Amino acid sequence: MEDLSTPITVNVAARPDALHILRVVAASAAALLELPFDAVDEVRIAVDEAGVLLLDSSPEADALQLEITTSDGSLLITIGTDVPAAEWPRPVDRESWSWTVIRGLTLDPRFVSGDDGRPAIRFRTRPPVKAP
Amino acid sequence: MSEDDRPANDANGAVELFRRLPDPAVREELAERFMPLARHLARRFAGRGESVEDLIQVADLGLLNAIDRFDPERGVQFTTFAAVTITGELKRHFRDRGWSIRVPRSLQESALLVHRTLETLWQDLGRSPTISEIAAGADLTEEAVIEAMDAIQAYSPASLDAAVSEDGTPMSETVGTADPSFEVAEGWASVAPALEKLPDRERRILYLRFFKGMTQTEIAQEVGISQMHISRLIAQSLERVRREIRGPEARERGASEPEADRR
Repeated sequence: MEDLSTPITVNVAARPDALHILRVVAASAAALLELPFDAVDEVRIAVDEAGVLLLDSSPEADALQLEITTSDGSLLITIGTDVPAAEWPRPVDRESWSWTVIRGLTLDPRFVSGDDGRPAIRFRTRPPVKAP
Repeated sequence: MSEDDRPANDANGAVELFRRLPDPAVREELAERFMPLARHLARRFAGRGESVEDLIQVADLGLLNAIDRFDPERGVQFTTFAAVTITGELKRHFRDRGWSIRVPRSLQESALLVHRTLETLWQDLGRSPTISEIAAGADLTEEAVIEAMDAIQAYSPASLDAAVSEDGTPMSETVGTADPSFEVAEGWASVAPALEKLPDRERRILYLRFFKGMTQTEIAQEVGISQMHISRLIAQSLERVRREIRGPEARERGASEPEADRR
């Protein structure tokens, strides 16, 4: 297993068709950790849902930022926008389908606020199950 | 019509034009006026193995359909109505052409290879293989495996339009078998009606994954189908639930962001 000595940071346009870049980057990071296929698959889904939630919540955002670090053999993934939000999360964000899915697929999912109150979502991936 | 008399959404006086339909000249003028919208939507579906020119043609056709079917008296913005119609036309185009045309051949081949290798390894190892194991088994780079994973689901018909279902399961049957856990779990209660519309097997898979916390491999063993199949069913089911609950909302927003871009 490898650890990421330097965090991975990627910026993409805040558009649905840019989400696949974030999915692929997150999947690549998960592959570095030798996570099994199903865990990698779910990292992709969770990243996608976080992106969708942020795009819905921040229509005025120009960019989405993905940051990935490692901690204890799992990935710590943060996805945020570049524009501060007046309210984050809104009740509708907490009740969203995306959030429900993220909560189901990840560990410690949380809404966080970055610099200047920029909305972000952070979660950890499930730790890898050791191959028997 | 003076500026002030127009609805707020009718900056170009389009409503007046619609009232003059079916005059062919007016139809043409409207088509020209809203062509940028069609082009914009067409380009959002680019990069899926169809040429932009073809997509623009499909979108233009969608625009004409929208012009013909639009009722200005209903108080809906034309752009909203047109975006939904055009997006629908583009999705139908992809669906009708089938997977083989949407996915570039090279990606199609590696996706197939990944699929097969995953199944074999899964059987042999009795667990979900890692990406590097799949890459070694399929003689592909890890990058190629990851791209293929994205392709396998990004291009599935379900992700283009999960709402179109072949599912003929009567509601009476599905309601009876719904697991009570779905109804009490936070966040899931509000989507219970959408979950009930899923076929039994899909609902059961979501239950095992989200409420029992089982891995995809464990679910595959329990349900008796391959892990790749489980993976796809989970992604498709989540998308179907989303469409089910976002339907009205998406229509209001004009569906300017095609969900085909997801997953």
